[in-house]
Amino acid sequence: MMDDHDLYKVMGERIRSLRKSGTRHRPRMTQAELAELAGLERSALTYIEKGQQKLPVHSLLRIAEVFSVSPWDLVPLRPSVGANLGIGTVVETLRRDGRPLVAAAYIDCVAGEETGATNKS
Amino acid sequence: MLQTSLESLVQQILDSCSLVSPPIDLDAVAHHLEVNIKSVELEDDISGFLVAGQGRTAARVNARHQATHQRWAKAQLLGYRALFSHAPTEHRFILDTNLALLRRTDALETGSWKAAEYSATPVERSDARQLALALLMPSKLLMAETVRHDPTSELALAELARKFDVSSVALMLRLLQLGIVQPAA
Repeated sequence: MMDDHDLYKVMGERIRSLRKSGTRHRPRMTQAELAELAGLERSALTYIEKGQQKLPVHSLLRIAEVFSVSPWDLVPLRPSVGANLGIGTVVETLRRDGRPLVAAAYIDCVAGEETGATNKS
Repeated sequence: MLQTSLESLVQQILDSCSLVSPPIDLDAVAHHLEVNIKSVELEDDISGFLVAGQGRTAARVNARHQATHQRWAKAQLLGYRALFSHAPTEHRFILDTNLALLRRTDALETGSWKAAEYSATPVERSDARQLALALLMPSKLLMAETVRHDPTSELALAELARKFDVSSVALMLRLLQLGIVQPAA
C-alpha cells in the first residue's frame, strides 16, 4: 500500500499525462481548460497535478468524465499484479496459486511481446 | 461507459473490419485491435486472460472450455482491449476466473473486488461484458434478423443463437437489453 503522498503524486501525474496527450476523440487541453471543465480553480489543478493538493472524490469523478475514462484509471490501486510487482512476481504468484498452465501461457505472451510478435490469431 | 457510447464504439470496430453479417468474425476484430489471441489449455476454472503493455496486447482463452464459452471469453477479452483508448504502456494483467454472463443479484461486484486480485475493476468488467454482448450481437444486425425471425418463438431463438454463434442465454440478455423482447406478463 503506497503512502498518501505517493498516491496523490501518481494520480496527479496520470491527470497531467491524459490532459497533455489527447486522443483521436479528444484534443490536448491546457490546465485552464481542464480546470474549467472539472469545476476547479486553475491553481488548484496545478497543485493537484504535482500531487501537492489532495484530489476530492467529486473532482476525481468530473475529471474522469472529461477524459471519458473510468475513475479507476486515475487511481494507482489497479488490481493488476504485473503493474506493481513485475513479470517475475506475477509468474511466481500464479505458480503459488496453483495455476501453472496460466503461468506458462503468461510467459509465452510476455515473451511474444519482447520478441516483437504481432497479432496472428 | 454509457450504453450509447459502447454501441457506437462497437459500430466503429465493425465498420473498420467491414463486418456486415453474423456471425461476427472475432479473429478479424482481434487483428484490427492488434490483439494476439489464441486458445490454449488453462486451469479449468479460468476462462481466459489478457496481458497488455508497451503498446502490445495478447489474450488467451481456455481451449478446454466449450466453443461457445470460448467465443464469449474472446469477445469479453477483446472488450477490455477496446475499452483502452490506446494500447496501454503500463503492464496490465487481467485474469478472469469468471467471465460470466450473469451474476447473482445479491452479490455486489464492488463487494467482491479486492485490489490484490489479478482481475479488472468492477467498472471495467461491467463495460467489457456489455461490449462483448454488443460485439457478438451488434444492434443493427440483430434488429434486422428479428424482423425475419420472430424472437418470441423458441425455434426462432435457437436459429438466431446459431446464426450469431452465441449461447441462448447471451442472446436473451441482448434482446432484453435492446428492448426487442420483454418477459411475458
